Amino acid sequence: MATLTPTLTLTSTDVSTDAINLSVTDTLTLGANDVRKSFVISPDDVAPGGTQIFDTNLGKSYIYVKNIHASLIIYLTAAADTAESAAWMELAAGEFAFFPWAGVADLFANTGDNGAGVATAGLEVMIFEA
Amino acid sequence: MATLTPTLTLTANSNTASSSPGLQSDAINLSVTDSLTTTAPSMGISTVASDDNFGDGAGVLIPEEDTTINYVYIRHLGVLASDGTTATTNLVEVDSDANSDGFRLSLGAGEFAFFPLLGSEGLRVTAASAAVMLEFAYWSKG
Repeated sequence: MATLTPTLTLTSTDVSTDAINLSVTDTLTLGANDVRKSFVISPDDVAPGGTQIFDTNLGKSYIYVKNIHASLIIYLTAAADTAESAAWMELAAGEFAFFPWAGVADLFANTGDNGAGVATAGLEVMIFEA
Repeated sequence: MATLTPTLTLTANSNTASSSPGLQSDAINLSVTDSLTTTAPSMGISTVASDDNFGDGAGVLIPEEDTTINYVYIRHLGVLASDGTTATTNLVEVDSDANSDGFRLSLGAGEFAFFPLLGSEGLRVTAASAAVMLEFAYWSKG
């Protein structure tokens, strides 16, 4: 069995009077024949329907995403509803996320319906099938 | 305004490692960090039960009425809420308080997530059976 180790650290000295210094780690066991997919894409805006980054045939998966575009916002949307209003995550330039996707819905990325256009080489994605 | 600094590392050995082998011949050693501007309101790192009711319904940690973007941290602590000590592998679903067909995360024991949640989505947690303890926090984007 293969192992993936994610570690998240959160720090702040001024978000409240009580400083934050949190570090959590986990050991995720992945099957030897499971998918690891790593790619960089250029998400479309919603006019062509965004860009699919995950399909439900993988089932539960651990997903890392990072907006590597210099300025454009990138939205993540579950399933095929690519309207900006249907998005659940908004990644500003430089922002990232890591989450265990249940795998019961597809996942799309887009730059919204504001006419921003294509985020050239804008989204870094890694998917690890659980 | 305040600053929150998240850092994520993902590591895995190559598949030829004698201890804790990874998935493939290329080892993974990824580290990313960011500097996030935050503002009030926020919820500091807290321990909650998956069926707690903070006034918006059982399991609703962020109500859909919250229109701001929030940076969310959530972790399954692997113990039952009934006594806070009994180990459990009950899965916890994390989804929207507003959209039944929206996003859905699945947290196993010890698993965590960190992500920027859009406003008006809200955040709701539901344990597969008996309620479990979670570590949770959010910070409004400044």
